[in-house]
Amino acid sequence: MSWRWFHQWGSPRWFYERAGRWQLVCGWLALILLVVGSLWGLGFAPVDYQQGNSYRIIYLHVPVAFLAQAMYAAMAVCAVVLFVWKMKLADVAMQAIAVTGLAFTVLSLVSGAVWGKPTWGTYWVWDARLTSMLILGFLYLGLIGLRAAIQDPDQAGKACGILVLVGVVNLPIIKYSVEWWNTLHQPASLKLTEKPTMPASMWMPLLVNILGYYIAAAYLVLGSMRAIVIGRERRASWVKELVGRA
Amino acid sequence: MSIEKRMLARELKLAAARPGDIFKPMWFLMLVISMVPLALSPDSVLLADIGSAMIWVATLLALLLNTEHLFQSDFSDGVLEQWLFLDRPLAWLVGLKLIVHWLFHVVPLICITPIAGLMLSVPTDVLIALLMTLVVATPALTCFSGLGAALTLGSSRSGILGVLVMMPLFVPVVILAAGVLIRATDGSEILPLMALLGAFSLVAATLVPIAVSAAIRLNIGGSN
Amino acid sequence: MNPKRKQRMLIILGLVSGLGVAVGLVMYALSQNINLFFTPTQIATGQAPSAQLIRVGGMVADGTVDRDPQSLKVAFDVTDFDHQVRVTYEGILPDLFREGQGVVVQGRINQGQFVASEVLAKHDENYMPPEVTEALRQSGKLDQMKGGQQQ
Repeated sequence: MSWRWFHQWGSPRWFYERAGRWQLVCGWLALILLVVGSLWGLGFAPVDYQQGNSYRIIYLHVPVAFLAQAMYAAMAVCAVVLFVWKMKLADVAMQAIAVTGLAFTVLSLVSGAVWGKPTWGTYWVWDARLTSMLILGFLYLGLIGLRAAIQDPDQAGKACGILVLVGVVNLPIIKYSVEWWNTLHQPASLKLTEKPTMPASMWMPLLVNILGYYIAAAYLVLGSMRAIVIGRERRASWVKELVGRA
Repeated sequence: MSIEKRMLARELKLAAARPGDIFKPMWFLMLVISMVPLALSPDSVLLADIGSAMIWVATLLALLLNTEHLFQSDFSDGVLEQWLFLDRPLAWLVGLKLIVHWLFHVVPLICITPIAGLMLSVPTDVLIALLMTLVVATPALTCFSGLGAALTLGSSRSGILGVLVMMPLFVPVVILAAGVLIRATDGSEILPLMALLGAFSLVAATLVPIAVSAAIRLNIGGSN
Repeated sequence: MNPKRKQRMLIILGLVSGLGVAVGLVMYALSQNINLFFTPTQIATGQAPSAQLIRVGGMVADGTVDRDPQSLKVAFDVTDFDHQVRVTYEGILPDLFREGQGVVVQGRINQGQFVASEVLAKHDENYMPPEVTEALRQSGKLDQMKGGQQQ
């Protein structure tokens, strides 16, 4: 059947086995890219004319901040898939992404604070992007808390799905309002549509690192999805077999 | 008697039977307001400067306090289940419930804010702006905290979770309301911001009941 | 029309009118100016409210920075190349603060002077190696670039 590629996603066992292989590929790829990108960015990219060496934290900060936002969008896609096709794996993905997304949000806030000290003269300013990142972190935290509070995993998944969808409608409004409220952060340096405002020797390693972090995120999400699948299917015979073998 | 009228009559009776539910958040609001000068300083100039913002935050907290268990009693005595079988869309009934809740539990809160304002020596024109922002913004706040209450219905150990989950979504409302208050303080035009606030409230009031009804269905029907 | 369908009609009508009015309100609000951020020109021409916390953005004008050697007091002009505003500040300035640098200051207007409670260096979105800056400076292109991004 031509729909087989789609329906096989409904099988936890199929996913568990496949994801193990994908995870291996992602892990190695991410490791190589991150090592190359970070060494290049931290060691060989030129010094900035104003910020000196402290700008080098963008090789961590920018990819992580991209991911923190992209993961919320990914979660919203999962929520739609969950409600339209009732696919349980989408719920598993939502659960995995919420935790990983929170981790990336925290990392971007911390790296931003470390960067803010030398450039702005303070660890924290109530700047628009910092504030909306903080709010994003609270949204992730809320999702994790909501899931933890509801015992039935199906019910918890749907409740989280509703919250994700309400949140995704609200996020642009939050972003605009916070931006109107306070703007200090510089505009984005890398835009898809425009020529970057950095020389190639600076943005090439950044690009490598962004790619590396995306793949690393996929690695992390796949890993925790596998763990969640095993946990939820613990009464299924294939899991018992798997555990028995190990 | 139509379903709507019967619902309204029931809510009226419930409110009359439990006046404490209306009274306690007002009590809380006044207590928080009394703490402000104690924690800060009795200096009336300083208080007038931050008073309106303080009243806003205190009202927000008091509102959260009384909306946290919005659907709890209806859920445990089976009324929500009855709603599913009524000849009305669930979102409509939810919307009615939210409106009634706003009238009985939020409007009294707004009504005592002028007293709080006098205690913090907030100037009259700012006080009027404060009242306007509260009237315009609280429908949105009520809707969102109602959603938090509905999402955590099925969980016995949710505690304050519904509030924590919803609070980040209040950011635009708080920013806009604060903008109005700042403008009112220096006497500039507040209408454009009030319009934005009103727009947010309207959108929330039209769309959030749909999400609330989905959350209620989820907690009653289980997996359907 | 049967009652069920009438009910549905009413609800859709309510939704559409609610959202429609909301859109109208947003349109009205956007047609008005809703910023608390001012340029030196707006302050010089008296468009900014006095005695209220506002933010001013612009460049630190060349040769206007006066530091008090005994204390942390500092005064400088912020310019948008049209008008200048004298800013006074007491405290530690950020590392990136220098003449010709974009800054955002937060504070109040007091008798024609801007008393800042916070000075933030606005680092721009251009990253470049020092050699490039040097080359640009020599060819005179740097000022052109900086001027260009100030609008």
